[in-house]
Amino acid sequence: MSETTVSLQGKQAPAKRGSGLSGYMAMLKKDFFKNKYLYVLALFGLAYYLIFCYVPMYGVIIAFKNYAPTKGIMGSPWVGLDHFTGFFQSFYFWRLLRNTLLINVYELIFAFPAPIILALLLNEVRKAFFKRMVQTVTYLPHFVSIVVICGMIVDFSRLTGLFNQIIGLFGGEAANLLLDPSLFRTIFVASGIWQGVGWGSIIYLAALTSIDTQLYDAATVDGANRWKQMWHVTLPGIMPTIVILLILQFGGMMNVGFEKIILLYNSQTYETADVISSFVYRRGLLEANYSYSTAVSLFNSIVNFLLLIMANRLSRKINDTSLW
Amino acid sequence: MKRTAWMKASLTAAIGAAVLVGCSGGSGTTNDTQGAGGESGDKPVEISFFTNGKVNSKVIKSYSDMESFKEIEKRTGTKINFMEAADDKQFNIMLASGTYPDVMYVRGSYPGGIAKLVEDGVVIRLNELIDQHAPNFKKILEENPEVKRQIALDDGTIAKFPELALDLRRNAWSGHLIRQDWLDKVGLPAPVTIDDWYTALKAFKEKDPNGNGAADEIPLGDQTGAGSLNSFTGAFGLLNGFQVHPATGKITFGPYEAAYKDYLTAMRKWYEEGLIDPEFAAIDKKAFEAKFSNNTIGAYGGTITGINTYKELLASTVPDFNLIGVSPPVGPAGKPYSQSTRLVQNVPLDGVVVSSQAKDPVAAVKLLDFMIGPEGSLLQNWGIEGKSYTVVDGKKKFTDEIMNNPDGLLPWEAVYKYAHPTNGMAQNFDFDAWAAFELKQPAQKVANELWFNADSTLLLPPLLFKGDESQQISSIMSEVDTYVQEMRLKFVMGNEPIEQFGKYTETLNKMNIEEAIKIYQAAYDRYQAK
Repeated sequence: MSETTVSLQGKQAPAKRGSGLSGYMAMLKKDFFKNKYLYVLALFGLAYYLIFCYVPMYGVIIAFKNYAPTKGIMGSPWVGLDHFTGFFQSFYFWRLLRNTLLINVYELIFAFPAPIILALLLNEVRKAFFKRMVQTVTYLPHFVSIVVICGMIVDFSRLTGLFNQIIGLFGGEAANLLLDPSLFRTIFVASGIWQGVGWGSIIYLAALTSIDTQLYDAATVDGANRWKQMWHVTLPGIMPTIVILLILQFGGMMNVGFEKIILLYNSQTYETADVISSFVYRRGLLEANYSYSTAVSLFNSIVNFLLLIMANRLSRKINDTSLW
Repeated sequence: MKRTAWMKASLTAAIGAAVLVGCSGGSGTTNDTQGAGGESGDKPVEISFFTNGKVNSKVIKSYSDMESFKEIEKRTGTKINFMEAADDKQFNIMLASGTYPDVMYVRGSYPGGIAKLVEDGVVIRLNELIDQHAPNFKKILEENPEVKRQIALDDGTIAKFPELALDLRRNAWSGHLIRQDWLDKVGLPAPVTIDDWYTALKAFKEKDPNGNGAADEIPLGDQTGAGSLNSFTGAFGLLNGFQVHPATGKITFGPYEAAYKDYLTAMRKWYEEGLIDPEFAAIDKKAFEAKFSNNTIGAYGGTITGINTYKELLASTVPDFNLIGVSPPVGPAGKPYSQSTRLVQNVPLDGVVVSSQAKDPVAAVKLLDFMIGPEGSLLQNWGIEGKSYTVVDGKKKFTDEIMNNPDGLLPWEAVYKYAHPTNGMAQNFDFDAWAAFELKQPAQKVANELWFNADSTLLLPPLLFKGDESQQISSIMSEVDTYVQEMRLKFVMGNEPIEQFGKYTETLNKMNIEEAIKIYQAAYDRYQAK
């Protein structure tokens, strides 16, 4: 950010002498005039974020109040940090934190690289027909509703379900898989990979097309085989995309979509399956404890925000790629 | 270049216009709802009505299609705009929006209940309005002081019109169900004590009562995660929540009692020996019915409807199918303790209230009074005379259109075109109308009788809490309930040794369960003093 400002001012300096700020303003004015329609267009995007993302944010103050719908957000009494301390002292605090983070760590380790690998593999496929078929097949689950996916998982996991029949073929003992707390994360992450791998690979495939083919030619001349080409040309080519997505992933380390959790868990698997978002859902929507659940959500967002900043910093230090 | 610039401009203008239209449209509707008040005269008064759920029927899509409501609208000169919520979460969302309909059905499960809504100013006190405009309801309250006690808040405020079961036999619709035909095959009588139950379930497991040569019997099935399991606490003098202690008469929390350990030990044994469906914790009604249709389930805790439903379902495959209801098992506690809370409640905690934003509270009260009064209740219980019911020798009877529907609809499906005798909102239930559906089979009549005569000592009346009390209860019980649910499964399925029971009650104590018990005791004392 600071670098660009400096360079802009630098450009402007010979034309207009004066303080940095007024020069900048003048430049902005000129630019605004030149690209006025683009600015007008951008205004709507800005308005969207302002109206639907920033303005509603004042609602987070109910995390510090005892919100009663009738008294309204402003009229409800303040309670300070009561809801936060209540959550931190909750019997379930550590468990929720652990489950939320663990599911995300699993996703980072297993689900994050999956689309990259798929994209690299697809990149090596020569038959266009086969490539397109694989793409279509892997995209498909993305378009199926999560409710349907979970319905399938629940049915397949039953004693007489598909999974148990397969396990039976190999001589295993049938058991309802969704009743085993130690299997929950595996089921959750594995089904997530199955559903999202194809869709996730699109962005990498797009990045792959931007790699200059001359690099491959040069590599071939240098005697690099396909493996070496992938390692030294393809991967570095899509590295910026990978890093950006990785940073974004870090920003969501405390997020687990509650829909899939509540569709798959039961009280027997709470111990590994109950995450912050499902807890917020139960406390907020089912028990109508809005203030408490807002406090929990706010805590969640703050941790996410800090993780995002840290990941961004780290990435800028290590390989010069960053979100800002 | 010029052309693209022009296109950009027009595009932005179009998007802008769309946004503006969207905004003004939104504000227009809010003005509309606020401005409609004070209307009177010949035009019917419009009343918005948040219902108890979506009508679950093949014949009508909404309550407004039900003949009884059409008639009620006609006779009261109102136009009811039903708002039918798909599930109870929508009620909370509607409340959070800050705009309430005129009349709302509130579930007892709403945290803090109707008392909290009155305190928050969402719901208005109706005493004065009932005095002046609700002669039917007033009469009911005067003639049945017990009903009044169940409805009134601690300070005497009356804020709801209930679904009313003056004949409590109507509320004896859940209990233990077991396959009589299986009992016959294994040569055992219907179980009375908890030991009889063990013997019977064990025999179901080992003696192949479904006769298919495979040991695929699930002696004790479950409809909804742990429902059947929970139904056996009564034998130990316990409920799965707050209850009256049978010995001291004081309030206690079942899963916190020492006897709960005995209950868990017994269930652990049953589970270990394969008497309980191993999938019980992750089951739903659909999966249960699949197992039931396969003729593999021997017993379960459920509703009286099942006796008839499953008889019809299995009629072709198991000709001698016979499901019966039995009294609650007698165990160490010595009595057949019922667990059906409604046995002591003519009125549930649910009820229909008038919101503080009601445009015409008088019209709303008049409508609700009509609904709960003789005319409205007749319509809602029986429908339209000559169409859905006839009167023979002074006794009402549903017509063939309902009971033997020509289009092949089941009776409870067909009746929705006219009435809703088995579940209602503001309605004085008619026992005979209910019995026509739920007590069709002789076995159902027997079950109803047995369940009605079970011991109701443990059951709590509808208790009400003050604002800070209900908040405390909800923050304590939110953790306790999750913990109890989880630990119960762990103990029963063996993931946690039963020796850890002491640690479990200790944790409950740390979660402030004693405080919650105290609050319940106070509310119970206030109720007794009412």
